[in-house]
Amino acid sequence: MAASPYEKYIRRDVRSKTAQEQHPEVPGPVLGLKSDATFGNKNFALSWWPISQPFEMVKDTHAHDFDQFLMFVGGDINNMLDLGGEVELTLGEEGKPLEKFVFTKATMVHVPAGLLHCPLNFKKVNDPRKPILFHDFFFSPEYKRKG
Amino acid sequence: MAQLKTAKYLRTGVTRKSNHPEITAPIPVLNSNEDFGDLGFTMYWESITRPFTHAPEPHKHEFPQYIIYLGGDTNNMLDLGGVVEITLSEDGQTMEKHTITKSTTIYIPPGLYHGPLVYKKVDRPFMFIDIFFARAYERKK
Repeated sequence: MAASPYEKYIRRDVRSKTAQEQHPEVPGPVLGLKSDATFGNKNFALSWWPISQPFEMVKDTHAHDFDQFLMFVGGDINNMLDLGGEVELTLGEEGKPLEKFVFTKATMVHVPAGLLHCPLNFKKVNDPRKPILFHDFFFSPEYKRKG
Repeated sequence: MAQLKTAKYLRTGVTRKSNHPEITAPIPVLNSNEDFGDLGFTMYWESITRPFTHAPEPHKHEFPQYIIYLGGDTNNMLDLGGVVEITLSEDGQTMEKHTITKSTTIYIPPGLYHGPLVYKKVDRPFMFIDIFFARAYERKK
């Protein structure tokens, strides 16, 4: 059967091997969506990470020139509000003290351009069969830290 | 947490109401409004637990949308665990049905007809994630 012209709107291979290689602590498949010129051109990348064991994902406090959303939901998809674990994230505005947040419920974090963020530490995962589902959603064609 | 100066950058436990009686699990939501990035998109997560027709009518809108299906076993999201049918059409006349059996992302540009959207088979719950770039969701006839 000839390929449908509408197949261009559908991506059936969603595995992100480059993301996966960054963190060997994440054994489950890491998935991704890139909105490039052939897929909406909205200039963002979104990735899905199943965090099934505690680890510090990002150590260094940093900022970048683009907006980012860090999103955390529970890996039990019938109860996504409960993270099933504990996450620590540090944020800070330029020239002000860094502040550490600890959360156990589904949480969305907006990291505007210039906002200092991290360390990002997954402190606790209650049940490795129900990982914390972490999403990294950034609005830039490529990920580049500032400074 | 409320006393921290950067608390405005976090939203915890925010949900939206289900529009479908078949969807009963809590629905986390992110709305990037003027207080939260102002990027003008909404994203939400739903758990599909049984076969049903999510959107019976073909429709289109003026904003871009991403429809995402991922497996509900979050340690192995590649395995969808169900069968989804989505119909797409550029002109509203020639309708083309696509069958999704693996985790998949779908881009719906402004003006592309989509629907019906049917969950034919659910072997185990899977995730529906919707991202639409609009201040409010409005269909166009």
